[in-house]
Amino acid sequence: MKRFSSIVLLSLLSLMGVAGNAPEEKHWWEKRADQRPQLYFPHNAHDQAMEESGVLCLACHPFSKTDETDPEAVAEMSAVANEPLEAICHSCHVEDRSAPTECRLCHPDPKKIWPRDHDLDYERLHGPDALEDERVCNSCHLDLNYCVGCHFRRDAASHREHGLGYRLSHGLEARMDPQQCSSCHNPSYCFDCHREIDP
Amino acid sequence: MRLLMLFSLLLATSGHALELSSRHHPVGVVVPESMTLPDGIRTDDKGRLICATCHGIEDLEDKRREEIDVEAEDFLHGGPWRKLDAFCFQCHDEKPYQRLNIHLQLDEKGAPMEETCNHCHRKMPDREHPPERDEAELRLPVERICLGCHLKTPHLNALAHSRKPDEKILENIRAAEKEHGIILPLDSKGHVTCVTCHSPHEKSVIDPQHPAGRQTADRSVEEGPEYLPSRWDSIYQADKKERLPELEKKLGRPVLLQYRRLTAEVLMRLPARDGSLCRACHSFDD
Repeated sequence: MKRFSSIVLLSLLSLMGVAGNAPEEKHWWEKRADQRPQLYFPHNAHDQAMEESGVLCLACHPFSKTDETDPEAVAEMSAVANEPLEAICHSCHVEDRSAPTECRLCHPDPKKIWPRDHDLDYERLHGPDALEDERVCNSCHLDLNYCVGCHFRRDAASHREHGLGYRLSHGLEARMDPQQCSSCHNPSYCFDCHREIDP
Repeated sequence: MRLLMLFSLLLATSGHALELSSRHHPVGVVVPESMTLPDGIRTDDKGRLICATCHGIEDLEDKRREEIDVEAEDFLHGGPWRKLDAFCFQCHDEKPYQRLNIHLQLDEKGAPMEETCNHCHRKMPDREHPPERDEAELRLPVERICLGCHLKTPHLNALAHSRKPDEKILENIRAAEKEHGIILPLDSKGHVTCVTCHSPHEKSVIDPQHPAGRQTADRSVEEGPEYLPSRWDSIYQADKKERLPELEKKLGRPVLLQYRRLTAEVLMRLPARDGSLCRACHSFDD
């Protein structure tokens, strides 16, 4: 009897184990989310805007007629048709800016979408690239405040860019990295004080 | 179909000289004046059909059957033709060859045509009292009955939807049925199937106030749905541009994906063009 009970108990436990470990098949839309975890698309938030633009669910999830009979081929076609990428999203969010332009809204981790040269100290090194073709920067940094935020910083009553007494100590930093000063100050700013005095 | 058969039996088994099947399209006949041949299709100097009228392979008539590559692009001018009848309908009128549209179910007086009903039902149901599914006496299970005429893959994403909905979606379906006063029927195994979204009945075959009869019908069954060009198509094409060549290479044929705006629907339980049909099942947290 004891042996029988053990066998029943073990069978039940193994069944529970099997049931518990059985991987549940994911829906096709859940699989897509796994493929592009870096993208965030809030459906409800798009309802009104997309209705006004004349596009709704069918723009990204098309049900276009097909005469293809191979189910695998249709599945592959559907996958490509179902996965909107840059052009569709950026049409509103970048091109005509009718939708919010903050990258982080849809790309929570900017490191996944920025160019590889941005990985290391690019804030300090970006100058030459920006001078060569500013449009490349603007393809992502749509809001010029991103540039202006640093390049046109000024002291204000509420905050100071440099600490107290910086006028006395700035010489050392200016010699170490003059470019750092010139990101905000043009040369005439220096010459106002450092001009040669006529005898 | 007859035309298809003609071409499928194009080359009869033959010995040395090329012998045509008795069902091959005749040559040597004069093209009637009522028929307009498309550009690039030629006849002989007396206006008669010759091999080169349809075939692009040089000196076809002098070749042995084994020497002819029927898969060659120019075996039929303008090929390859995925749908062979499209080649035939360049010259022949398509209409007489079209199959009966059994969704056209009402006669001029608005009465259901029994003959049409009997394509799917063993016995024409009582129009006043629409039967339940198991009383509808369908000739085939509901999940198979459409496949007599329609492909299993009639449109993109169709197969992906032919599955058992999870509990959340089932709840949404029940709520949508209540909200819109419609039915969104599943098949005998509880899977989404064609009739979940599509109504097989022409509007007014079933009382439009009855849940089974309520449907979106912006146009007649004969006219079918309407798609109009959209400015979004170029954006859509750009979006797919990089991935399509890879897919085309894999499938070995061109793939056209385009965005056209759906502006009128028919035989739908709810409109798809404004997303109502999709929302009957799918809901999102944000």
